[in-house]
Amino acid sequence: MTHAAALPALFSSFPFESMGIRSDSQLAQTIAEGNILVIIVLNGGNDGLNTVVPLNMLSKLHNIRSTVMLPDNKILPLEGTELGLHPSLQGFQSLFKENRMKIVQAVAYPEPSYSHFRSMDIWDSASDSKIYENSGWAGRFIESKHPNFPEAYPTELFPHPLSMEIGGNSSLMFTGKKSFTSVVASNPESFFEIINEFDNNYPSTPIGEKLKFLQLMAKQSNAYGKVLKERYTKGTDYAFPRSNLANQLKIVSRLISGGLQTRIYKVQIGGFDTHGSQVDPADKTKGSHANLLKELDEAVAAFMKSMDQMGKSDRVLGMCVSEFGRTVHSNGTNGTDHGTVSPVILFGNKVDPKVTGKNPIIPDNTQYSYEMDMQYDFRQVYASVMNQWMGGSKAFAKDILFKEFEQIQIIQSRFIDSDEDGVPDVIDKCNDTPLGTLVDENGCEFFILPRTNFNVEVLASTCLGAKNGSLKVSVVNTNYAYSVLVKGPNKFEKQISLPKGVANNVLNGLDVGEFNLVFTVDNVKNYQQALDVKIVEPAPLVVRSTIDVANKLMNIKLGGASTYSVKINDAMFKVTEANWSTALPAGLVKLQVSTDLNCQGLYIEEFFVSESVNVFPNPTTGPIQVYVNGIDQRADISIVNAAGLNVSSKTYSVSSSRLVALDLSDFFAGLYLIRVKSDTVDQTLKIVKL
Amino acid sequence: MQNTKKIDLEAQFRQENVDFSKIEHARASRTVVNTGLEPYTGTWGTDQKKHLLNRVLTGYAQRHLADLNNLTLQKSLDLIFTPEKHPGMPVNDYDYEITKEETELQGHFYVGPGKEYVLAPEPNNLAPYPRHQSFDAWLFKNMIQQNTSVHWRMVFFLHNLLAAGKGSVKMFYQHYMTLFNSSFETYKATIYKITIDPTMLDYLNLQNSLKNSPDENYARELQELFTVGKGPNSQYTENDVSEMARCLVGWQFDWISKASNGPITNLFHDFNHDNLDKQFSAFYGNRVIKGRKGQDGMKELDDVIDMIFSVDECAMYLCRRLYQFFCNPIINETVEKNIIVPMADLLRKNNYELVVPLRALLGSAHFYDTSFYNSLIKSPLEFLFGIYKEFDTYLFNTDGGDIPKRFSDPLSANFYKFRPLQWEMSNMGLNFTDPPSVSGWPAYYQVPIFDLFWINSDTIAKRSNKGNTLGKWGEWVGSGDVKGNVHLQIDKIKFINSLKFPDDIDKVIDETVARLMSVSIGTKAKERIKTSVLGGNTAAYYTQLYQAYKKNPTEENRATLSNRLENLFGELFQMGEIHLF
Repeated sequence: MTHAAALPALFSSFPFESMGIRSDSQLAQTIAEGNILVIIVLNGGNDGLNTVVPLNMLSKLHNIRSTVMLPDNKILPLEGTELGLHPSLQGFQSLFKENRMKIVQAVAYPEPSYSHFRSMDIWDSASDSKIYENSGWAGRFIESKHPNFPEAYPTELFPHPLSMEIGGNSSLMFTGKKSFTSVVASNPESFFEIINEFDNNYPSTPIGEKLKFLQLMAKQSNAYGKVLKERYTKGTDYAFPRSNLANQLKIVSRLISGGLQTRIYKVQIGGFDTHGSQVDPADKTKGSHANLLKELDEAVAAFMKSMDQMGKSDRVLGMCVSEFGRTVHSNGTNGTDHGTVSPVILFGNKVDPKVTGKNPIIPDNTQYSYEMDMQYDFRQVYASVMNQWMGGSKAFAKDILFKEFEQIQIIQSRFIDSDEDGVPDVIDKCNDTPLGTLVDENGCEFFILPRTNFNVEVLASTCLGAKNGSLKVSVVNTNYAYSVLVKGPNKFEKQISLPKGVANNVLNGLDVGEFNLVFTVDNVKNYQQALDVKIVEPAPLVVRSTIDVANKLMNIKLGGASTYSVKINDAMFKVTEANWSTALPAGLVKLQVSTDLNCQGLYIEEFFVSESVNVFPNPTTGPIQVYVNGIDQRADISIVNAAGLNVSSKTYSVSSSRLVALDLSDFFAGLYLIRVKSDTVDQTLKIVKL
Repeated sequence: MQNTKKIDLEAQFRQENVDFSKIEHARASRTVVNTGLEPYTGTWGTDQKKHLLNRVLTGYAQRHLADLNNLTLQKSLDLIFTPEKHPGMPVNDYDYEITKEETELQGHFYVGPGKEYVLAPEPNNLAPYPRHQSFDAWLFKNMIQQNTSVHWRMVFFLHNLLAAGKGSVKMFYQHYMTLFNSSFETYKATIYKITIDPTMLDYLNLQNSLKNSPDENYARELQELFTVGKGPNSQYTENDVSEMARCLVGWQFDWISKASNGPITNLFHDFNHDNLDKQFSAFYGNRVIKGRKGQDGMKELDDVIDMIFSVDECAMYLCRRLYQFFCNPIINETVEKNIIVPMADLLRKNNYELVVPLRALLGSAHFYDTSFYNSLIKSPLEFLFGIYKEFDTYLFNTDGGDIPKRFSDPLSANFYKFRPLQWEMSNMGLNFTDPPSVSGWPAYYQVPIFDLFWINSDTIAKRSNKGNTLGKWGEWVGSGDVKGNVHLQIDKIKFINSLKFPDDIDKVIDETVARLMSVSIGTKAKERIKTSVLGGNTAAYYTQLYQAYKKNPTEENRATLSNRLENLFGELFQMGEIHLF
């Protein structure tokens, strides 16, 4: 009745609810608006030295690759570096100026293969050169992240293809251990919709198993096809140049603008196998390589521009890879042959815009077969991209790539969120929480129990200083062991515990004041829930008494406590009802009410309960009888006239008949008041004398 | 009639949630097939014949079933185990694709039209690209035009078992002919020939193996994949791999012979051979292969083969592979005991001729257990070759344009007809001359997926799309010189004419389904297809249409009928059932 309500904490250690909501939405956010990787494959082996030119080696390069070397004054310088770009790469130069491009120099792998197929397989599978691996790194990446792919996909959370290859066949890169992980589409607008019955039930026979699987895959295909078509139609066409690569990137751009949640895209451009006529001998800035780089440059520039326009360039990382570089020496046919190292070029708003790696030092008198030293394994780039961009911990990247590779700074530290929990690694104390885990502001797993799990109520309030207030602490979920630290006024501090299976505990002996309770769950770090509660002095005692003379009852309404001590004359009662009645004694009554808490005060009331009196006949010509109820044997009877003058005052004895006879014959006619008074009587009656 | 209820595919899909563990669970709970290698004596009907033909051919067709007419099981097996005639050599049927000048500019040796090219010099690493396409087309043509013989399927089996690729045309011809020629021979000879086969020497690096640092690639795969396998009873050691690599170092193919006229020849460089003794593990009975000096060193290959084939596990492994490829990929303890052990016994007793235990399997009570019928998903090969086999084709310019001579010229027609199969199969996951790895295709070894490997949301769409295209527009073979696109159309009317009741649409559907698939489709699907063929008209309309064409086969009548039939094939080719065999 008088319980103070438990007040929700005005402040806890961290804003529980808002944090919970942020974390909840983070998963959806990551899926819908997560980082996107666009892989651009340059097939044929790109001539790295004519793509990113080490300016410190110009004279030497003129010497040994004379037939393909670009004129010095045509090379586009990259500010702040000793590198320059092929004159076709003006868009790349701008991206570099805008701090949106990263170059990793001299990337390859040990024991290089000079076969296109084999080398591309090595890049796709991310295996050692001598190991024949049947699955691709992106396929393994996706299967690890989505262990139930493809049988259970698309899902509610992942309704869209997990990766897409534009044009061509599904490549080794996306071949997982158990299936292809990419959706290949050359024209999402006309994705083929399989016409078939899709609601057949098949028996668990070998045929049934296969037909069921075929039906499932057909459904999945149609579902993805539908999604792609829908997103593609919804998307916007941005301005792109006309080229094969640009067409592919245009599809990617349009799908992204349409809200496709796919996070890995692959596009490709072929023809980099420039053994002959790599350059036009008349103008070495022209030729097949220049055309290819121009196609690449313009397509990438248009793609980034479209991303800027739709406000999504923050989400994109582009990566240009090729199966190998080309020979340092040029050959006799204005070209270069299969080599080893070449740069990997990455672009995006969040890249670490530095050049990684040193310029090569090419010694004098090199042989035709001379190769520059490898500085980075391509798997370092992959590991870094996975870890810094695609939401894979270092351990995860190690699993995918079979061994650990030292990271390269690809993404600026402040943007790296390797577990995609929305808390950047720089402040993430747990940067490998699984995808979808609720995390706190430190990025650590957020142990969640609803606030309604915790409750505190004031069982008893107290008077200041009396220290007999008490609190009941309770939890709903009793699967955990809890500790509750209770802090109160005058440095009060007490730890209570709720072991497993125990729902509540009571804390006694508390004084008036504010109490702060912090619940922690045993063995769960970084989780707490705080509640505040106030113990106040009780409200003052409220008593209303009424008497019912006719029924000789006394009614008392009580308020302010739960137990009352009621004293009527010399009788004591312990009362717990708020409405209490007792027999009404006659005569003088002394009522006294108190509670246990003296700060609530004491109620005292005295009143008189008269016996009844009657006069008859009324009106009278003279003689009257006064009936006096009760047991009193004497009564004072006085008579007052209308003018207020006392005309008679005598003490009469009351006989057992309870009648006292008076005679008013001598009085003038008129109205008189007769007052009868004894120990238990005090009544005044009107009488008319005729 | 029309099914107006729109099915929410996504919602349905989510309800399904099939996963491999469920599939495995269901597999484990099925009745075990207890029968063994004892000869099958049950009913010898169409179902059994179709099952046998499905598994021994490179694509089923009606004509093969006709070949078994009135033949007993044993007589059928006699026919099936009759080797094919040697296919000879492919000729330049691609001359329209690349001129002499262009060929020579690219550094290749030019071979005139109609002339054989597989013995021609290959001064460059590879051959001109159209020649590669021509070779593939030739290979596919031979498989599609096969007799009712297991021969080409044995080639496919061996190709998957001894997977190699990335070679040139000249290398490939030799490679596939080695497989073809040794299909009915002892597998020991196959291994000898494949070890020194140019494609294999190159693919698994024996070509570049050096005495001082022998390349172990081939020595490893020879054991792990080609002979003893990696089962629990195959306990060769890493040291065995190294020692075997030492035995085999020195073998090469002759680059000069590749660049000259004539076949590619082998060399044994004794200076590059390790002529010290090689010590093998207990798995090989602690055998020592004595180091041989000079040209005698090449005999160490014979020693290695003798040693490997002396191990019991070798026949066990090979019979498992046979069983998985021809009967069922799942081998449980019962199968191991009732089938693999006796097959392996037969193999050992018959000088490792694979066809002996294979024939026993194909005639066994076990093989004809009904649970195996149509229980596998076709590879793209059986799917596409089956359709190519079942239908006659004609050329058609879809835009009413011209049909250039090259498509019908007897010298080049087959090139254009069979070439598309290479990219079509590749699209669906089977690039025949370029296996994904030395392990072959995962469909034949990857537990627990096996043949499910062929189907994913991508490849099922491609199969369906291709099926629909073949039913309606045919296969694109090239452009018209004046305008339009030239398609290879399946002759739908000719097919219908070969049915028993070509004028009754219900019977047409039933008979066509029975011809094209070994599993029937549901009545709902039949109704849908019928509605789609009739386009809102009654069945009588179709009958009139057919009879009008029969009476008066004008171009107009033919086209009207053919157009009606497009939906029949376009939709049947999209049914899940067509992918079973």
